[in-house]
Parts: sequence; structure tokens; C-alpha cells
Amino acid sequence: VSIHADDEFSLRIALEGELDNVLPADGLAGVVIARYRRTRRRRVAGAVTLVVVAAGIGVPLGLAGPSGKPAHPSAPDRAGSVTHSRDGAAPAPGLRAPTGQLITSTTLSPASLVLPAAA
Amino acid sequence: VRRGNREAEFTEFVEAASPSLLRAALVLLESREDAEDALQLTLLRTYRRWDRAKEAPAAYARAVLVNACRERWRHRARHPETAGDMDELANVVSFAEAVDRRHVLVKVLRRLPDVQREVLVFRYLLDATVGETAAALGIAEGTVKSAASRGLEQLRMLLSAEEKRGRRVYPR
Repeated sequence: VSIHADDEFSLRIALEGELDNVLPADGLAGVVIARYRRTRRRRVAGAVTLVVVAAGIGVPLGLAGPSGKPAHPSAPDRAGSVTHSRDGAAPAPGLRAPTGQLITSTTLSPASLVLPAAA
Repeated sequence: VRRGNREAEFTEFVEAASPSLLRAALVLLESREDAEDALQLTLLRTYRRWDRAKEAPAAYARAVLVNACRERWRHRARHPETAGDMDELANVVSFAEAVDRRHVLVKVLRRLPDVQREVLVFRYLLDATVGETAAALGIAEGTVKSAASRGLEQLRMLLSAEEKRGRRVYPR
């Protein structure tokens, strides 16, 4: 490419001549790769922190289960530990299962719902 | 093994391409420091997308470089308080000129409008084709040709003026 009419000048050659002492620092690729790794580590740490914080806020609010799954929509609200017998009444005090085990609200199970014959 | 290959390929590319990218950045920006920052940012972005960039890494890096330089211009426009750097850089260029009067051409190039300067740098310093230049700068090929023509004409006038002022611009 001639800048002057006499063709004694080429922009490319002139630029290369002017800038031939302009060289990047040695080991530039290594510097860039190290910077990339540092940036990526920070990004991963940031993402993990975000997930932990989101889960930490979401679980107490009931927005998600502890494993991250959404809570089951028909899951009953558990207000306490009272367990009722099949007819809805609480087991009579002192009632025993055929095995002899004392039936309480915590031991009641379908297998134990065999009531003794009425005396 | 894959990471090792990736790093080896990238290192080879950097060794081959970084001198011309740095020179281009130096012409497009105002200082060596800015040019080195832009180059490092360019290489970082290229390495981040290396799987895609390695098909044509030079073209990819050129496009990233011009964006990095434009970001630097915009940053300067938003932060005029850092304009003091420009004065400092002008002194650096003056010092370089005083030493060997070799940076007159670069200084004259910096006086061209942005598009003309970018086109001349891409075409004659980075050896990009008209199509590659158009793609990297986001302009039409016809615009590249006209900007190159006008840029050369403008450069010719500015260099003539410099010569009249007694500066020897190019080796005889």
C-alpha cells in the first residue's frame, strides 16, 4: 500500500518498523491461564455460596425440602404427636395388645388394633 | 490431557499472535499500559471460549481486541477525571519521539477518526481481509473499503504536514 505517490512508503512496513520494539511480556500465556483459573475458582465459589444461601433461606420457609425437592403439596400439617385409633378415639388407658404389649399413642399400629373381646 | 492440549494450543497461539495484537492495541489506544491491559483481556476472553475460538483464533482475538479497545474508550468517556493519563501518555510519546522520532506514524494514526483508524489497523497491521475486517468491526465491506481509502488519504495529508514540520516520518 503506497501512501506517497512515489511508492517508497508502505504503511505496513512503516508500522512494523515503528513498532518492532513493541513486544509483549514473556510468559504472557501463563499469566492469562493463571488469571483464568483464578476467575473460574471465584465463580464456582460464588455459585456454591449462592446455592447454599438459597437453600438455607428456602428450607425454613417451606419452599423446598431439605434435599432441594419441593415440598409435597398434599403433605399433612403435623401439629403434634397425637395418634388416634381407627375409630377416631384415643386408645383406652391400660389397653394391651395380644402380645401383651401396652398400647399407647406411640406403639399403635394396624397389627396391634386387635381389641380384646368384651368381657 | 485435554486441559494440557488446550493450554499448549493456547500458548502456541499467544506466542505467534500477541506481538501484532499488542501493536494494534497500541495504535488504537493511547498508551502501552492500556494496550497491555486490552491485550490481556483479549487473550483471557479468547481462552475462556477456546473450544470455539480455536477454529480461527486470530480472527476471534481480533474481534475481541477491538471490543476491548472500545470498552476502554467508553470508560474514558465516562470517567473524564482519568484524562490526566492521556497527558502523561502524550509525554511518553513525546519522549519516544525525542529518543528516536519513530512514533510519528502511530501518533498520526491516532489522530484519524476511530473507524478509519480501526480499518487501517485491521487491514495493514493485523493483515485482515476486507471481509474479516467488516465482520470484526460490525460494518459493511463497502464501508471498510471507503474508510481505508479515506484513512490513507488523511494519513498522507497528515504525514505531509509532519514532514513540513521537519519530522522524518519514514526511512528513505
